[in-house]
Formats: sequence, C-alpha cells, structure tokens
Amino acid sequence: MKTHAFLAIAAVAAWASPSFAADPAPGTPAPVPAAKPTSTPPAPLPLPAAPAAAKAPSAGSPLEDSGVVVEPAPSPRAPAYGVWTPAATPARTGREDAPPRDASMAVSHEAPLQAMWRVEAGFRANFVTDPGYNPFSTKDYFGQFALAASRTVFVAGPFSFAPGLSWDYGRSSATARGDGSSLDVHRLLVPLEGRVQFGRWGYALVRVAPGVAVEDAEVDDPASPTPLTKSRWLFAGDLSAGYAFPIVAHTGASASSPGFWVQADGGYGFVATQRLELTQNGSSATASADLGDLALRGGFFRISVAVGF
Amino acid sequence: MSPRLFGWAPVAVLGLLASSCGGRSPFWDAPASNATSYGMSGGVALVDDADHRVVILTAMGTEGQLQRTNFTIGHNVASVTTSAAGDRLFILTSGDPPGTPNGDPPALTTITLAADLTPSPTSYPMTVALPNLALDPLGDWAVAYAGSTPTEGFVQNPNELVFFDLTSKAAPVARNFQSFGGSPVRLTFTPKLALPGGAKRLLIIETGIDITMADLDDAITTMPPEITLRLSGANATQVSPAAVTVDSFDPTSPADARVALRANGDRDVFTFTFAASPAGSLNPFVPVPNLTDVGGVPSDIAFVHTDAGLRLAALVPQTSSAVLVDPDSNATTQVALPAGYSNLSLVTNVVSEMTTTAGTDVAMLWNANGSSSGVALWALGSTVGQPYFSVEVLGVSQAIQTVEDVPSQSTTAPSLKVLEATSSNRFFVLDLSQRTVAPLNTNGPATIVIASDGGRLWAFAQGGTDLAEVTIPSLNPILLKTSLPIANLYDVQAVQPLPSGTAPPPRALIAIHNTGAMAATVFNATNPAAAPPTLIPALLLEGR
Repeated sequence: MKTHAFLAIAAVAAWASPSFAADPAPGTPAPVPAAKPTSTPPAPLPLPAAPAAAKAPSAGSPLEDSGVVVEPAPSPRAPAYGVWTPAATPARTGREDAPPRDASMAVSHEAPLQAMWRVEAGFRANFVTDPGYNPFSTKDYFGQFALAASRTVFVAGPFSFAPGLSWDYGRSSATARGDGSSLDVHRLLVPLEGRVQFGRWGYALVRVAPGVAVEDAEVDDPASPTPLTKSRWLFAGDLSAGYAFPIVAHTGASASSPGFWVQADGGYGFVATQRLELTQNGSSATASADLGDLALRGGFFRISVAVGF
Repeated sequence: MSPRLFGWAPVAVLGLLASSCGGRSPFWDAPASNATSYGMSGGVALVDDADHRVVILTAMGTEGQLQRTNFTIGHNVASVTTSAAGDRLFILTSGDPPGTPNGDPPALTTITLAADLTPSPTSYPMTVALPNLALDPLGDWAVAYAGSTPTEGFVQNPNELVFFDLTSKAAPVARNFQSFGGSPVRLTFTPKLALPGGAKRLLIIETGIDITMADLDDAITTMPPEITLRLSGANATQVSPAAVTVDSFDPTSPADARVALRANGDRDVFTFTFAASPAGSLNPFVPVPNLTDVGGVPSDIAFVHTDAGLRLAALVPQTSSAVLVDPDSNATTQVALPAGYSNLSLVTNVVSEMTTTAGTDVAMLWNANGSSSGVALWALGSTVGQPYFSVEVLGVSQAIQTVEDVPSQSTTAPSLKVLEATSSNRFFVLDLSQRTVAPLNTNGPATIVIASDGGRLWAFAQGGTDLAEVTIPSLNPILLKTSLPIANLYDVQAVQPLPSGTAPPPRALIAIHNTGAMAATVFNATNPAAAPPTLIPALLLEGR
C-alpha cells in the first residue's frame, strides 16, 4: 500500500506541476501572442500541428464568444514532455457559415471534451478510521484499483451528464494478534457524473455513484483447520467532485480520434456497516471470531487516466 | 477554473495521505499467545495484558461451547492470583509510567463468579504501584506489597503496604510500616486469635531480619501501631525468617493464641505467646517470644495436639527426626523417624482410627531425603511412652515432592491425596483411609490437575497433545488427545442448562492452547470420550 501511495503522489505531482508552468503570472507575457490578453484564457503551449482544427468552424467556445481570434504561434515550441500536450485550440478561420457535419461532430470539434465514450483506470485511496478496519491494516488507509466506463448522454452548453459503470477492487492484509488477516473489497457502482466544461482546460465533475460492495474478510489462525472467513454484499455509494484535464485531446483530424485525460476527484465513500463474525467455512458457530463492526467508509481520492472517444 | 487551482491538488492529496497515517491500537500487533491463563472454579480467565483486558471463558453445559466475557483491566499487569475457592480473580496492575498523558493509574481489579457463574468486576484504584499481592485465605483482605524484588517506580518505599477490604468497595488504604532495615517478604493472615483485649486477626509480616504483627481487623480504620520483633539466634546472630505457623485450633482459647517461626539456616524455633500490655499501651497485647533449639535446622513446623498437650512439631531432616516443643516450657521431645522428612500436614480427620488418645492428631510426613520412605503417618497420641511406634511408613518407594488433596465427593473428609514424585514419570494416589498407594505411570513428565468436585484427576504433558482422565475412585485411565499442544488444563464447573437442582452441575474440561490467538479444546469432563471435543480457535481475536 505504501508503494501505491507513493506512486499516487508522484503521479499527482507530475501532473500538476506543468499546469503551473502553463499558467503565466499576471503581467507576464504569454508565450503565444493573444489579441486581447486581458480577456483571453492563458494560452497553452502551442500544438505541434493543428492544421485541420484550424480549418474547423468554431461555434460556442468561450474564445469565440468573446470575439477573440487566436492564431497559432508561427514557430511552435515543442512540448517539454510528450505526454503533456494541452488540448488543441480550434483556430478561427473566419468561416462562420460552415455548418457542422452533425451535432456530435459539433461537440467533438467545438467542445471536444463533452460528448464521448470514456474509459478510465486509476487508483483510489480510501481513508478508513473505523476501528473495525484495524485487524486488516496497520494504517487507516485502503487502496483500490479503479476502473470505470461512461457515456455522455446529455449536453447543454458547457454542461453534460454521463452515467457509467465502475468497479473498484482492493485488498489489505496485515497481522491481527499474530494471525494473518486480509480484507478484499469489490465495489460495483453506477457513477452518475455531471460535468462542467472549461474549454480546453478540461472539465469539472461531480459524481454520485450508488451501488454495492462485497467484503471478503479472512483470518488465518494456526489453531483453526480452515481460515475464519466472512463474505457479504453490502450497499455502497460514493459522492465525489474533481477535475479532468486533457493531456492529449482530440486532434480534430478525425471525430473518432481518442483523447487522453488525467483526472482527480475526491469525496466520501460509503459501505454499509456489517458485523464481522468470522466463522470456519462460513457456517460453524463454534469456531468464530467476532471482530466487531466494520464500516468501510470515509474520505477518498482517486487519480485516473482516461481515454475518451 | 483557473489552472492555478491544480497546484493545490498535490497539497490536498498529501494532506489526505498524512491523515491516513493514523495507526491502529498497539494491541493488534501484540501476539495473543502472550496471554496467560488462570483456572477458576467456574471458568478460565485469560489475562490479555496487551489489550488491557481479561476474558472469562465460561463453559455452557456439556456441549463444548464457551462463552467469552471481556472485562477491562488496568495497564501493565504485575500479578494475578485466584482465591482459594477459585471464585475470585485478582489482577494487580502497575498502571502507566508517571508522566504518561492520560495514563492509567495502578489498580487492583477483581472478577468474582456468582453462583450461576456470572462474572462481575470490582476495581480498586491505587495511588502507588506495587508488584505483589497477598490474599487472605478467609477472603476478607488483600494486601499489596513491594516484596523482595520490587521493579516499579524510580523511588519506592518497600515498607508501604496497601490494604484492600474485599468485603466492601472501600478505597484501599496505604500504610507505612516501621522498619529496622528489613522490608516485607512474606505476609501471613491469621484466623481470629483470643488475644488480650479481645479476639483479633493479625497480619504477620516477615522481613529479611524480623517479623511485624499488625491488627488486621482495623487495617483501614484505626490500626494501632504495629509491633516489630527483631530476631536473633542463640549467639545473637541475626536470623532470617523462613516460615510462620499459627496455632488456630480454638479461636476462643487464649491457649491457642500462639505463633511459631522457623528461620533460614538456624537450629532454633521461635514461639510467641501473647500477654496483656501495660496500661497505656496503644496495643492491648504484647508478644512474648521463646527460643528453642531443636538440634538441627527445621524444614517444617506445625502446632499439633499430642497426648502430652499442645506442641510445636519441627521436622529436622538432617537428624531424621521430629522434635516436639512445649511452647510454654520449651521442653523438647525428639522422635526418631525412618527418613529425613521435610514436610508434614495434619490428616487427623481422615485417619482418626490411628489416634490412640482422644483429641490427638495424626500427621502425614513426606518429601523425604531418602528414596525408600516416601510417605509416613505419624500418630501423635503416643509420643510420651514409645514414640517410635507412632510412625507408619506407607508403601511409596520414591521421594515425594508435592502432596495435593483430592476434594471429597461427599461430606466426609477427603481421604485421597495425589503424590508427585521428585523425579520420575510416576505419580501416586494415596488413600489414607485404606492405606493404599496406587502408582500411575506416564510416558513422560506429567502435570496433574485435580477436579474440584473430586470426581477425577487429569494428567497431561505440558506442550504435548496427550492427556488422560483418571477416574476416582476406580483410577481407570481414559486416554485422550488434542490436536494442538496443551499449555494448561482446567476442570471447571459449567453453566447449568437445566433448572438448578435438577441435576448435578455439568463440568467441562478446558485445554488451553497458546496457538494463534489462543485456542481451547473443550471436553465434557464427566464423560470425555462420549463425544469429540470442540476446538475453539482465536479466543482473543476480538475487535472492540
């Protein structure tokens, strides 16, 4: 678990630091010329190539609404790292009359972060202070692998809504009074995600995710012929908020070209309380260990990478 | 949203990670196998110092089920003991070191089993940590003391004693006893003695160089000043007390208000009678010492009734004799013995037919330094004429180390004793009424456990998986096995599933295993082979 935590920190640090670099301080000349710097979002690093996007019509973007025309830098600077490539800014061509091919195309090109299929994988760190968790961990921390898929089904301006399905899995093991112990937890949730897009800077999200969790607790006591176990399905849910930032956006070359994202969200995770009365083979009442109530709930954060298409 | 906000994300994440570094209670990391077990009349107590608790295991009927009841105790267990009847457990804790935030104070916690075996706790907080506890055999008092090897605290007063009135929940009282250089080593609670000024109980405190007598009845109220008797031998050499015995035959007779003492490495025995104090004394009595040379270093002493009257019997192994001391005149009578016996205990009520004179005693002699005369009976009704006719050697061919009583199954006096040999894979069941000695052999060193109802005894190999029931009186061994090594074995009364009085109380045999988080194998004690035992693992694996 410590390794996971370290990787999480490293990932977050690596992700967040460039955003500082890309955000010039007030009064500092932007690396890319802007017609109205005072009303234009800070210009990101220029794209290596975005000719197709430059030809695409622009409608509804914050830049267009403000009447700003942004020209690509004449000599684009190569990104410091290949992974960090800010979203392409659709360049204005002045062809206001060019109609979109269809609605989704319009979204893809003018608001490419909104309507999409999206698959994400990441790491989820849960903070569990419930004493019932103590037999299974030396820390108040429970890490899980997180996998989710969603589809945007509703778009209104910068707002969109994307339901999905997620699966989180984690395992914690420790020794409890000298006995080996482990706790496996699967969460199957239905994330209902509302998004607010901030142009090429990605979008903020609020996620409500009801679902179920299964907790498999096991204690290996040397005196017991078989491990003492208990497994139970429980109601579970998450409430979180976060932000998704594009690291490789749609290039605009094709409507189906994938975009890559890094996303972080945090909130509160809930799993219903259960009494951990572990028994041999799950049936014998004689050989039992009552570990008390386990309420696997508390704050959590999650860091994911996602692909949208 | 400004990208600046992204910069706060690592800070928030690190904050959350830091908050997750909170650890669990340390007891989860302490192996439960460090817990210790103590037998009680109706259950087994597991003292789990790491978790600051005691778990009382109560057997439910004969079905092999155990009920676990947790009680919180203080921190740092110093000593644990049970009452003579086994119905009360005493746990003395030292508390946390001074300066510990929210530290736990020293305390004595008792767990008492009611008639229906329901346990209930009582806690007596203390102001000073003391590592040893002496229990009144009558159950009225407990006294905490430092003892000869105090270990708690930076500075200690070894002459400070804390008195607990076990008949109430009154706060304990600490008293400082005068010292002439010694410190309490051993405490003896006397029964009521007919002392000048009225019947009283005394606490006799042995130090390394003297003894002190204190009024026990007023220990927590108006205890008068204690009386210290400094001891010296025949040549004014300083002597160290080894044991005290009290004449308590008749608590209403001033003639039976006597105390005797033997000393380490000294040929003299000390007897004390009690005289009235001069007017104005705070204590109404004053001990009057007498010194008697018994011809060798005595190994055991006891007040006995002989055909010549009350005597102090002293066993002198180096001369293979016993010496009878008249506590009033210091006159002595030497009785030759067939071996140099080291211990004696009175068995008058069992072998009364040996008493040639009414009102005299019979003593059992054991722990001889020779191998051919393990046990003998000494009739004290013929000590004047031909005392050598008064000793009857029983057929135990090995030196006996310990003698344990087998409780009687009826109202008659217990006539069976279990004799454990000094060094052999053998023990004996002595029937005093029949004068029979039945040897029982084992394949290895065995530990003997005697059921408190007198119905059976158990032999088991500590750390092994073999055990056997030996039924009484048939002495039929029933061999049994457990799946885990046995640390301790307890034959206890079980909770009666039927209405009280409809059947004898069921009994259970609980074998404790220091395996994993402690485990127990539970047998039906009265019929262990009738059904497979129940193994209950992870006894101490409980969350809170």
